[in-house]
Amino acid sequence: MPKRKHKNRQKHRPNLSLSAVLRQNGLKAFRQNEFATAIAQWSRLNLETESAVRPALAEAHFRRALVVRETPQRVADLRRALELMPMESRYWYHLGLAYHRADQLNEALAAYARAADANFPRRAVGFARGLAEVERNPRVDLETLEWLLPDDRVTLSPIAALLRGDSQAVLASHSDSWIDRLKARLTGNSTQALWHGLALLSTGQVAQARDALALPPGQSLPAGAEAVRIFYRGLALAATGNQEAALAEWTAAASPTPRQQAVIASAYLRQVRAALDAGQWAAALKIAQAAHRLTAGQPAFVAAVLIAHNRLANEAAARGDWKEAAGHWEEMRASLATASDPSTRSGQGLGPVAPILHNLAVAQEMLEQWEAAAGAWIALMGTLPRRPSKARAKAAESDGRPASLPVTEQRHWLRRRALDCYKKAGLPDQAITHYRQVVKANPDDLDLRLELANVLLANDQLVAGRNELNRILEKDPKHIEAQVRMAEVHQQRGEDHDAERLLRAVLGTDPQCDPARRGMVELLRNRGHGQFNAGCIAQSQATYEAALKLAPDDADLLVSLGYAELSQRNPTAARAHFEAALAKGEGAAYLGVFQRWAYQKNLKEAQQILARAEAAGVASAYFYVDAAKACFDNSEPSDAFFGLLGPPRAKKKKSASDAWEALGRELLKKAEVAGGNQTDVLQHIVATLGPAQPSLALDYARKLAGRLRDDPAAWMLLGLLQAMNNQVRAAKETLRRAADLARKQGDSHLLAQIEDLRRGLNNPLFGLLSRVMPLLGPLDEADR
Amino acid sequence: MSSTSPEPKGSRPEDPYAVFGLEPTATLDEIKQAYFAQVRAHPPERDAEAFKRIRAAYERLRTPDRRLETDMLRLQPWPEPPVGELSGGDPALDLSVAPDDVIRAARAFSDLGRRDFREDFREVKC
Repeated sequence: MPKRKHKNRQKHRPNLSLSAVLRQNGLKAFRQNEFATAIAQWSRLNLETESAVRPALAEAHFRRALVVRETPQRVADLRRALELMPMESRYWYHLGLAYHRADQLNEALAAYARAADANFPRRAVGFARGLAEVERNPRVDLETLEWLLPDDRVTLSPIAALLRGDSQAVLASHSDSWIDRLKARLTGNSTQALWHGLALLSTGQVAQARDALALPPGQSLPAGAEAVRIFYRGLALAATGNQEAALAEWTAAASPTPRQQAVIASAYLRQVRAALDAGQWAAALKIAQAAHRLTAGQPAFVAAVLIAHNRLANEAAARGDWKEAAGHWEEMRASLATASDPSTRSGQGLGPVAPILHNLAVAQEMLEQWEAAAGAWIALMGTLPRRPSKARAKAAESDGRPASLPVTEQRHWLRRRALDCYKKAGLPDQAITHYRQVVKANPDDLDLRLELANVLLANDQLVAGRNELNRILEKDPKHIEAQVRMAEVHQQRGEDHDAERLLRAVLGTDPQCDPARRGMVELLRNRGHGQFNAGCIAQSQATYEAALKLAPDDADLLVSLGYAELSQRNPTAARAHFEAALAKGEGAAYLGVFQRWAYQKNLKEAQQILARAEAAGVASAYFYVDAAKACFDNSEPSDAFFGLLGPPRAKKKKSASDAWEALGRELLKKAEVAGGNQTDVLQHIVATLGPAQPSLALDYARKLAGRLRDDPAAWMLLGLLQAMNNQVRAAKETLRRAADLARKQGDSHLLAQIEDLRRGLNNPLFGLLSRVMPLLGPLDEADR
Repeated sequence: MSSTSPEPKGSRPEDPYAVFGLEPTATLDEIKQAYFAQVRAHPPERDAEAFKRIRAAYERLRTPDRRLETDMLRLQPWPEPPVGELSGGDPALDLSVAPDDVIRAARAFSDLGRRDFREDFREVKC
């Protein structure tokens, strides 16, 4: 049976002609508002024979005209509709509107006239036509426009007066009687109030304009008129000193014109400046943000927002409110990032982002937001120049000014800091993860890959770091920084020959490359020391001389070379090198020469150098302490040596070594005087002399603990030295005190060390070990 | 390189440059001179608290490494841009009524301000 039905259905289906199909398809599309499709379908029909389609096609064009935005397309559609249906008044009217919107007033008037002639029923055509006349010529005599209805004439009159600048005419015709005002209130007709208000404003009656432009509650104007009313009321409010109310009005306005935006921006800017000048940062920020939104992102307000944020941030930081400070710097960071986007670039300099990132990182550390701080430090590192200029590197002297330090030093600091922060956040590998992602996205960016290598090496991932360096060198075998870094890695691993090969290659390409020169000088210096210690004096001299060619002002090399000459009994040559070193004027050079004479046990020469150091003004407290140590190394072997298996032996009669000891003690007194009894000098004395001269260091450790009464580390040091001097009971008491302090201060790490030491006191080997360890010191020195 | 010892959350040490009345660009020599001058003026036996401040400040600046640490953890000044000019100039409050605004308002009262013209639609038959 279904088969039969299907057969029957097939039999009764009519044969549709192409034109019918086109008609039907067009109608279907039209009813679905797909006017372009309807037009396409119907346009294929022969309109001479398909007369029913003509009005439909015209209507489709008309409907499409109402939805397209571009005037040419709209006009084209309406013209086509009129070709098809020339007597259709609606099409003429809308053509008039299309021309009118496009300010083509002559064409608009012609179209309106045709609409009127075709008896367009709506009376709006009269007003629109009249408005076009007035816009074309504000001085037109409305009375001569016969087709203009009286009501329209009344409505258009103030408009024409305003357009021709005749505000007085508007004011004269305005009725301010209470009846008319009541009528206006009751009928909701605020139109006349609008023209009246504008006329008052343009004649300088600002306060009255302000009041006239205020809309009674419950009344409204059409959107475009309302926007104009709001703007000018705001203007009147601003002119009468009520800036806040003006801004409130303007904030409510939609789509201000460019001129309105300029006026609004001007008023806002005055207010922002006033707030900033008065130190009202929060108010300035609020106004600037509102102005920025309202004026479509005028650059002046971007700057004002940033300034307000910055001042609020600094204020918050000053009172310790790091959360607020961080919030403001985050906003600045985001704003500067947006402003730097080429698609939104304002063209106005807004200041660098680096200080913001810096401050944000500091604030986030204060809040212990370690991960965020690490991110900020890394972002800051990204603002540093990739390849530091030689001029900047040259300007970096060792006086410690970070601004003049090479960028590489700052980068190194930032890298370490970011890693530390990630570790504190429990994400030790996050920095590496970050750089891996960045490198993955930019595999050919060798600078980024170098940064990854540096981070890996800083995180003690030596193999991975080397692999990245190798990848860089595979792509660019002459990449200087990678070669220098790889040379450093070789040096750390004791692979000096590989390090030297790389550094020589770099210097061959760039003889002025400072990192390579420094690396090579260190390599040669260490090699020279090794050769000297092995007794290969002549070789060490050649090595020092090779290093001096790269660093002719290196006083330490000159001193080493001089000592090599001394060791070969060439005092004249030695003195020449020593003098060259001393000519550099550095305290370290005087100390080095003093020490070398001390190693030679030449007291007279040593004393002469000492006098010269004092005359040159380089004899600091630290100088005296280090020189004193050299003296004590020459004095009677330390009591630690003879106390190996028992108490220190009794002092012998006065000997040459006593002269050294006397000089040493004298220098220590001078250190105390030069340092003004500073705790750091005492610490240096204890640290320097403690191992070899525990009995001497003990007195200073007592003084140090006396000065740093609340420092458990100072008491721990005293306890250790007391123990080394066999004052075990006193040592235990002192360490107990140190432990109590550490416990109170919550320093668990130091407490553990102190406890270990306390337990060590009970170990019978403690006395032996504490005396054996200092032996290493004097023996090492004797080799030199 | 030493890392800064942990500070109590929310607190920061005094600015060492402020203690010596120096700019952050002062040389090491200038810092030393200022330090010695301050110590002479406030010796520990006479003004222990002041001396502690001075000493603490000097500790943070006396070597290149410590100074770098200190400087890298100081808040940096941000060079503020000028509050500046508006693009297109900064007009005085202009109270004149622009003809364009009058036209815009006037048009709003006509069919030029409308978007809905369904009353002008006609049914289509074909």
